[in-house]
Amino acid sequence: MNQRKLLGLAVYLIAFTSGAVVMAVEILGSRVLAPFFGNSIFVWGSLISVFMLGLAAGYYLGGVLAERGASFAGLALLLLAPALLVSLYPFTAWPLCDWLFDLDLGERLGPLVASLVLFTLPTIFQGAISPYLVQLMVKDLGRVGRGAGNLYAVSTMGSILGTLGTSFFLILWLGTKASLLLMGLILGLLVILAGLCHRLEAGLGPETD
Amino acid sequence: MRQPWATAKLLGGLLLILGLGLLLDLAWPTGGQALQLRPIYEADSLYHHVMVMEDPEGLRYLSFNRAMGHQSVVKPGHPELLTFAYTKSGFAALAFLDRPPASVLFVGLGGGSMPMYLRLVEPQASIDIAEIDPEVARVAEKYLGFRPDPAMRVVTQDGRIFLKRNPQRYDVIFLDAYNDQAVPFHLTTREFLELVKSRLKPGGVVASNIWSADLNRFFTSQIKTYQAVFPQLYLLQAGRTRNYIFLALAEPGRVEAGAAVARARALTRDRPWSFDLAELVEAEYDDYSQHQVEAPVLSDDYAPVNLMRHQKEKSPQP
Repeated sequence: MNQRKLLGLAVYLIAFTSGAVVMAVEILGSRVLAPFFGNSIFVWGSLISVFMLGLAAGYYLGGVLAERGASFAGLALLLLAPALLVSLYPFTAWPLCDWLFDLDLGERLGPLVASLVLFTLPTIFQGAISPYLVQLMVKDLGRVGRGAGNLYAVSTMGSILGTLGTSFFLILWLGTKASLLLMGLILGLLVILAGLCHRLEAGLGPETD
Repeated sequence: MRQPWATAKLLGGLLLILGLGLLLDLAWPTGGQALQLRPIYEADSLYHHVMVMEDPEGLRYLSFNRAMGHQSVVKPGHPELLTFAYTKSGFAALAFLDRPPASVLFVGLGGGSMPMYLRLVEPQASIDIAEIDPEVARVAEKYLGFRPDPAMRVVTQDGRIFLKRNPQRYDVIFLDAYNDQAVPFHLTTREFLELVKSRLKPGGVVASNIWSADLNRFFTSQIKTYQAVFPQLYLLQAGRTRNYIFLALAEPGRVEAGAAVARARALTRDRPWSFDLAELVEAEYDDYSQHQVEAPVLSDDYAPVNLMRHQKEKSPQP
């Protein structure tokens, strides 16, 4: 019984942390783009809409995946992709921006295309985590609304922390590249956490309540 | 029975708050009222809240934000009037150049007072201006007496992007894209200054307007960053204000105070200069090339400019 509670706690922790990392990467994204595309309203508009696009696609795809049945092993795989992609940013983002800058797409299309290329893919995976977590946690159909509500609230609280923490402190303490690496590392820790949950759940056997 | 009394208390309280608010609003010293400024134009642009106001003497004030100071003060039709101390000190850059300025770039237009003054005293100079906000360029022309000509063009583009896209080199590059509230971090970094340096002709000078209300970490970091990129750095404190002009040269060496003063004299002779540049250079010259400061160099990876502005320096360095 107690271990089931532990699994529930892990689900919330993953929702919270993943929510924080999404917004941290969005804030850091503005620092990545600025040397090439400035930090105008066009850059911010591009960044925000691309993150929304990634999340929207992720919510949909995560729902489709969840319908086939959710497991902690699947969750670990879902987290692994953005963990790798975000960890690679310090090495991939600047050369990609350089290349896109040379294409000279204009003051609006330039930052929009750069945001699309850089940030869509990991954000899709992070968006997919939300419905997947709902499926994983809510076993009682009658309580699905309550469970989803709790998860969204926790994940969005994480996003607040990610936004404020990054803009108020992280950029001062670590700079852009090290902060991105840290975000990749945190997602990596979530992969391990999901893996541990998988083993714990396997040991528990089928749910009896 | 208690309800009417509670309602009355509530209404009374609200009225009191309203009255206090009104009183405060009337009594609050706003810059506009103190200086008797009459608003002429006000609009939101992509980047700012642009306001133009006029005082009884016909001076026009450009501002970007109610809470901020004025960006520019001009009298349309009178480019010889330079109101802000830093605009005068900025022209000290010309005294560090070993020839008349043939090509000049301004990053940041504002009210256009500096380009217009340069046009007045150096009619042959070719002048480029990179201004990010198309509304500012429009307002400068319509309300502030800014007059572009075939050899003085405004490109509406972010300064860094403009420099990156244009391989053209300049005798003098003026950086005036900062203000007291918002500093675009990508125009402060070592990578940006390397780009600026690569757009200088041999012997060319960078003049940067840097504002610092107090001695904060950001200010010392800027000194350190300029020193990291430019072998020569001179700091001019503009007329005892908190506006500093950083003058930076790409080649090693030294421009002695006497040489700069002599150069200023030669340059201003027989030209319609409205102030004594030689006297200004003599008063404000300060060689910072070797001045030791302890601060991180700003880079594209690490430039927490807005956060550093709130970190006070323990010991005053400059």
